[in-house]
Amino acid sequence: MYALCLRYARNSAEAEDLLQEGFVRVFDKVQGFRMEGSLEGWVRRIMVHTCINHYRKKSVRNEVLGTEHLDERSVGPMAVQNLGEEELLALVRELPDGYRMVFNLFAIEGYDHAEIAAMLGCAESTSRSQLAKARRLLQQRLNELRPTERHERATSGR
Amino acid sequence: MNERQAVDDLFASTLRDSEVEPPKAVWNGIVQQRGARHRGFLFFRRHWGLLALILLCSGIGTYEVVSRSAGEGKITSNDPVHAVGELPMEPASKKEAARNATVSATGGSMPAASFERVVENDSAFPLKSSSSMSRPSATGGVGKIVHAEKVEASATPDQEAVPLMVSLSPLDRQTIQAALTPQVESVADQSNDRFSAPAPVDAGIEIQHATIAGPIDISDMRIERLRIRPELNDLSIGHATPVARAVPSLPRSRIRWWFGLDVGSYAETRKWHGGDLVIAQALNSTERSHPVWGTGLSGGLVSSKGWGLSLGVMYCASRSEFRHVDHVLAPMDSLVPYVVTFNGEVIASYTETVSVLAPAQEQVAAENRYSTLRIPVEASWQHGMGRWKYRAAIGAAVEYNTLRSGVTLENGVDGSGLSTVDVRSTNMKRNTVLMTGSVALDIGYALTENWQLWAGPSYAIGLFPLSHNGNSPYAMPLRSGIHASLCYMLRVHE
Repeated sequence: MYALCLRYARNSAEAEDLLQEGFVRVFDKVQGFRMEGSLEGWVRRIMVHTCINHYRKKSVRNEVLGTEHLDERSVGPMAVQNLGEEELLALVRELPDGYRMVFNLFAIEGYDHAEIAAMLGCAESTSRSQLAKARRLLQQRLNELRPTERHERATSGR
Repeated sequence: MNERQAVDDLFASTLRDSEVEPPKAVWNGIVQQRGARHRGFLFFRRHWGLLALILLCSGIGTYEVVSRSAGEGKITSNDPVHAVGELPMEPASKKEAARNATVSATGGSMPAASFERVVENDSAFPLKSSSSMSRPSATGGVGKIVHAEKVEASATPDQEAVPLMVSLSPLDRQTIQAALTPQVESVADQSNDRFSAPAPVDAGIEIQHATIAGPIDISDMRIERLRIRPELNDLSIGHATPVARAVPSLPRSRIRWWFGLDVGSYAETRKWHGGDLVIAQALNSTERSHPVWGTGLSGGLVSSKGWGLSLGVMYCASRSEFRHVDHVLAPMDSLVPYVVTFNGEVIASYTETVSVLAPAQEQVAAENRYSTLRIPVEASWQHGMGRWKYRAAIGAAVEYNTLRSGVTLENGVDGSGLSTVDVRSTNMKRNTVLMTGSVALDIGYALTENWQLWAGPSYAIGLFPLSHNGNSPYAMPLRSGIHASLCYMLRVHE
C-alpha cells in the first residue's frame, strides 16, 4: 500500500501521510467489511479514495503543458527492458498532479474514464486529455533517459 | 474499445503489484492517531457525565426556585396592596368599613391619623391558604367602645396570613403613639412565637375594630412596617376614610460591577491569507490543530435586567507542530567511469568523483510557539434561577499574535523554492494584529453573595486583519473550547 501511496503522492512525506490517513480509515471502517470480496482489494480501494480525497482537498490546479514539443515516438522495447521499478515510480511521481492522478487511475488501477471523471469531479473529456498528456510526457522522459542517467538515478536512489 | 497502450501496460505490470516497506514512523503515527481518537471519545464521554451532573444540579436548583416562587406567588395575593383590593367591597361598604375601622377620640376633634400594620409571611416559608379574615363589621357605630379581639396564630398551612389594616381618625397622633407603641413592641418581640395578643387600646379611646374571624398563624410572620400616616390628618370624623394603599414602586434599574479571573482551554487552527499566495498555501499545509491555554482578567457591569458589558485582557500561549518538505539543491557525488581502449583493448581505466548540485527533498519538523494578547469586549445577557445562572455573550476582540519561537517559510534566495527558516535568525515573526469575533454560552453558580463561578463553551473566529501591509501573509485563527471565570460582584449602585 505504501507503493500505491508513493505513486499518488508528490513525495515520500506526503505518501506517508496518505498511508497513515488511509489505514486509520481502514481501521475505522473494518467492521463494515462484509467479507464478500478480497480484503486487499477493499483496502486498496480505500487507499485510492484517500489519495483522491487528498488530491481534491488540495485543489491543485492542473498544470497545462504544451504538447507540440512532445516527442510522439513510442517507447522502444529496449528502453522498457532496462527500466527498473524505482525509475518508473520516479517518472510517475514527476508528473503534474492531474496527470499523475488520471494516469494512475486509468493505467494502473484499471478504471475507465467515466469512473475517473466521477471520482475526480471533472469531465470525461478532461480525463482523456489528461491521460494523453501524461502518456506523452512519460514517453518523452523514457526516450530521454539514457543508460548513464539511469545509472545516476539508481546511484542517487531516486 | 480498448484504449490501453503499451506505456500503460509497462507501468501497470511493473508498479501495480510493487511493494515498498513503509517507515516504522507511519505505523507509530497510525497507533497514535487511533489512540488519540479513542481517548477523545472517552474524554467526550466523561464530559457527558459532567454535563449530566450539571443538568441534574440545574434541575434541582430550578425545582427549588420554582417551588419557592410558587409559594411567593400565592402569598403575593396577601400583599396589603393586592389583598385588600381583592376583597369584594362595594362602594358603600367601603365607607362603612372605613368608618368601622375608625378609632375616634371621645372629643372627636383631634387631628386624624392612621396607621397600618402589615403582616406578611416570610418568603422563605410560604403559607398556602386563602384569606380567612372577615371584613370589618358594618354594624358597629362610631363611639362604641370595642377591644381588639384575640389575635391568635395557628400553624395549619390551610390558613392564610392577611394584612391587618386599621385606620384611626380623628385622634391625636401623640396619644395613639403613646397608647400603641408598647403593644406593637410587644407584638414585635413575640413575632416568632405562637402568641395570643389581646390588644386593648385603653387610653380613653373609643375603638371600632376589625374582627378577625379565625386564628392567624404568625409563627412565620414578621411585622414589616408600622407607620403613622399623617397624610390622612385632614379627614373629618365619621367620614369614610379609605385606607390609603401603598403604591408599589417599580424596582429601579440597578447595576452591579464585577471583576474576574479568566482561564480557558481551546483548540485552535490557523488559516493563512494574504501576501504571496504560494507561501500562504504552503503555510496552510503546515498548520495543524493545536491546543491553546489562556488566562486573563476581566471586568464589567451587569444590570438588574440581566444585560451586561465587559472588558478584559487575556494572554494565550500555544505550541504547534510544524512539518514541511523543503525542496533544496543539495550537493551530490557521482562516480564517472573512464575507460581508455586501443584497438579494442583496455589500456587504462579510472573513475572520477563529480559533485553536482541536485534537487533534493528535505523534511523539516519543528515546534512553533505562539503568543496571543487579546483585549475582548463582550455584551451579554444573563438570567438567574436561584444560585444558578446562565448567560449568552457575543463580543469582539483585538488580538496581537506573534511567533515566539520556531520556524516559518520564506522564498529561497537561490530560487530553489520555499525553504524553512528559524524565526530567531530572521525578523519574520509573522506578527499579526487582527479583529476576532466570539460567542459564548455560560452556566454560572453563585458561591456566595459576591463570588460567582462561570464556565461554558466559546467559539472565536478571525474577522479581519488590522495590520496587514499586503506583502506578508497573516494567520486568522479559528478557536473553540471551554473557558471559566471566577467573578467578584461589587455592591449595588442605584
